[in-house]
Amino acid sequence: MGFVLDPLAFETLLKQLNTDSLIYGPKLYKNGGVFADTDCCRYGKITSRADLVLDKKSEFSFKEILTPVSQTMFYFIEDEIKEASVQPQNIYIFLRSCDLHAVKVQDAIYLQNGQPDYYYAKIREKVKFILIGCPSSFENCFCVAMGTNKTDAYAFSVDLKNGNYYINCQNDELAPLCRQLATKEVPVTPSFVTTNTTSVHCPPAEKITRDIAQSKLWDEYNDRCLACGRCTLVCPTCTCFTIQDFFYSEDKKTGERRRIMSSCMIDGFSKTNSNNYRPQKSQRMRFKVLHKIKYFKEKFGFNMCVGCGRCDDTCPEYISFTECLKKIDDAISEVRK
Amino acid sequence: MDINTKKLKKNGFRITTQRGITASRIRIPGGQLDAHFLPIIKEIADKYGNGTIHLTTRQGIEIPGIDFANISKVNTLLQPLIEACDIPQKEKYAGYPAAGTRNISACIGTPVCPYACFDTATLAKKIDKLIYPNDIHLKVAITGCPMDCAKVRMHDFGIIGMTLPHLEEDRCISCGACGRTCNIKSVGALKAVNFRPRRNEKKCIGCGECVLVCPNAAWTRSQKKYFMLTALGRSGKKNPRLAQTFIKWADEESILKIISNTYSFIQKYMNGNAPGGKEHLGYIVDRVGFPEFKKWVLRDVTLPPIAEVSDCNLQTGLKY
Amino acid sequence: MKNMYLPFPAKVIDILKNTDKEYTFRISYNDKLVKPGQFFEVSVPKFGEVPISVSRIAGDYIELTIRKVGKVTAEIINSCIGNTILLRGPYGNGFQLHRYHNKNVVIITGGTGIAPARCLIEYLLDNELHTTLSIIAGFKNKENILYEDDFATWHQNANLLLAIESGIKSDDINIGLVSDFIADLPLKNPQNTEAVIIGPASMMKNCAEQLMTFGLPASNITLSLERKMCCGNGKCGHCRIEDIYVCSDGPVFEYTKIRHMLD
Repeated sequence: MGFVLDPLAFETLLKQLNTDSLIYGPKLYKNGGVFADTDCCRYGKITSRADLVLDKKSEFSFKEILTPVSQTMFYFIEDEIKEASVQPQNIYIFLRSCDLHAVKVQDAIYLQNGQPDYYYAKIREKVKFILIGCPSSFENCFCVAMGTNKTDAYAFSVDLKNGNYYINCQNDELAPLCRQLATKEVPVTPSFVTTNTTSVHCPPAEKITRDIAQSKLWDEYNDRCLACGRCTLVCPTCTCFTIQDFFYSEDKKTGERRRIMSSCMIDGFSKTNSNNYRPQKSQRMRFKVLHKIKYFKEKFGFNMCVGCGRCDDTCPEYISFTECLKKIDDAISEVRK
Repeated sequence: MDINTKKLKKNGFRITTQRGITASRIRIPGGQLDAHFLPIIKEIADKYGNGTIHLTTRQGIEIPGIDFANISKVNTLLQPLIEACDIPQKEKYAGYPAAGTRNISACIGTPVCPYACFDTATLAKKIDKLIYPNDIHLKVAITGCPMDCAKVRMHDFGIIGMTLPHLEEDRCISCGACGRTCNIKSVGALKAVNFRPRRNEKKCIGCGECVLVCPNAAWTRSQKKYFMLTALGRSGKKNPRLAQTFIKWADEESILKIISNTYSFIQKYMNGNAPGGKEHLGYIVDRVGFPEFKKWVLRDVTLPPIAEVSDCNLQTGLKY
Repeated sequence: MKNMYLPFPAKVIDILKNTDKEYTFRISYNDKLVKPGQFFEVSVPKFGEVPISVSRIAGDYIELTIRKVGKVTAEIINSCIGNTILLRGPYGNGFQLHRYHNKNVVIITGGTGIAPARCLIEYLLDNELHTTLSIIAGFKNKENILYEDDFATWHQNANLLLAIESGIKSDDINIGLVSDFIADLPLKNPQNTEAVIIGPASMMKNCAEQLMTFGLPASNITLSLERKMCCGNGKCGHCRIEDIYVCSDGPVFEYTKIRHMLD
């Protein structure tokens, strides 16, 4: 069902949703950038349409809502273990097609691999998705190559065209509200890009042999990569975390167990007391890249990487994931020769 | 030949080793100039100078080899450049009105340098407007961060950009990058407590390294810009010394006020019999004492609550 | 839904000091769920969790051997005598015990690798499985030897060879790496021999490759991997190698599965 909402009506829609739910979406954090006088577009609570940034790709992804960067699991009070509560409200998340495909990856790890994750499941069941239409591709996007440029797994979609909000509502509960606010009811198809400026061919998982995994193509990353982890932290499909215990400095009898996002690119990720697995940055790059386009697929049947290009957008050393895919592709053709 | 050298110098020209030949000293606050004006400099150098230019230590441009007779023609040509640099002028087409307060030099700042905490050239122009034209000899320099590439501690006043870093604890992933970097590159103001950095406010110099290396935007910069004001550094033949930190966590408004107060202080205490009729700020303060200087310059100044004011020890530096 | 991260308290019955660094915790545990090769996430609240493999399964208790290597393990050892300890698990797939029926079984361990192996050794010795058991247990030096009290029993029912990397040779103790003694093993019928190797990565690879030169098929060799494991359940990602999660797909693997993996 398609609706056209003028700005005021869209504002009312957000307010209505906000009465019993939280809304998250890309938001501009003024002066929140790494460099002075630069901003940061990342996910935050949306209470008004002025908060919502529809014309930029967020630097960090929506995953922070499903799997918070830092999440308390338990409180330890004397000898008692108290489970941390999960906020009870329903959640709407604004995101793009690539990110909606990334939700499938998050679900696969957190709900399917082993037992379902208790904390993830509790948040996930409350979430509905609002698709942001993509009339054109951003820099470094390669969703078309990854087949994630289109989706229909959303409650409703939003396209801002000539000052009005075009909505395709697929959720029966929300349709009456949209109808009530709409200036007109017309068929609406969300915008999906069909080409990206970054053209890349994703090498097929089965063609990536162990020879390629052991090839010299990874060596350059030893010198180039800083092991800062940005590429994985911004990635909507990276899921790794670490568990931490601590007691409050004011009161040693109470403390917490929390989990925090972690990254396979950062030192110590695979370090045990007896061994440091993957000490080299070339090994970590290989580990990360091949997970995205090979190993995850071999386990779950679809590619992990969704082609959002955030890793390329953020790398301070200008290391490009797509350029790496090209190198793998070239290595495959060379082997064929 | 009869030339009033005092007037010539004030007009932005200099007495050179060659009799009757001068050099035009072009003032470029913050060292930032629209490239569009370079042809004017080239024209002056080719037409009236010896075809060369000199990039000065204070980020001006000097055009040597100009005949005294051509000074007014050079001033006419300089007019668009003076206007482009937004330099206060008493009379159009008459060239520069003063030379005492030197060009405000600055590092490149935020538009280009990732480490910079603010836009240095914009502040340089603001200060220039405040203190120029003026015959009092004073050197002010600006630098974007405590790395001090502009070597501001060699100046009467040095302005060093600072950022007050804020940690959003729940975005921290305990990677340790901030603490390691602060230890290696800066003052070691971060200590891990419960897997997260805790900032030692006394130690922190606001360099922003923690923000730069934080991979998850847990550390961010303050909305408000802060500055470290250093005072009473100097070169010279008597007692060159590095400036000490006068105020940490000052803001722009207070710095502007302090600099303008300084001119009243100098006027009050300057020894008029000093050579050339000018006595440098540092030597005045050496004479009248730091407390008196501090009293004058902080008059009507409202510092941010976090500002820390220190007394500068004047018994430092090299004594020839 | 069950909160898989919620630990349960278990009573520490006794703590046995094995070496200066290793302590074995005897913990009250009645569930019949656990099997050799599996591990628990052991924790002291406010200090942290560590994965520890089960080193003995008895009727109403289990034993966990903990090596004092970091803050968490030190705290576990210091704070738990007569107290309770928190556990999650058991995790992992453990050994496929049916494989060892009517087989020659060779168990090679390096250092604390003997802990999960002891659990298997005792299972094989306690059950009538018609196995012939050979054990090579290696340690850095004499001071690091674990489970000396158990050796007498093992000697009676198995070929036990002890090796230390440095020290003085005696009747019971040989000097050298465990791989130096593989040639001495009775490997007359390699097809009917099952090998279990547990120890540092390079040691396991060396031993496995050597056993294969004696005709043991790779599919008859089982290893147990050590990795960083935070969740125990295929989520946290620390233990992943290619498409496997050591915590949930392992930590016990057939050598064929991991032989060519790079990490």
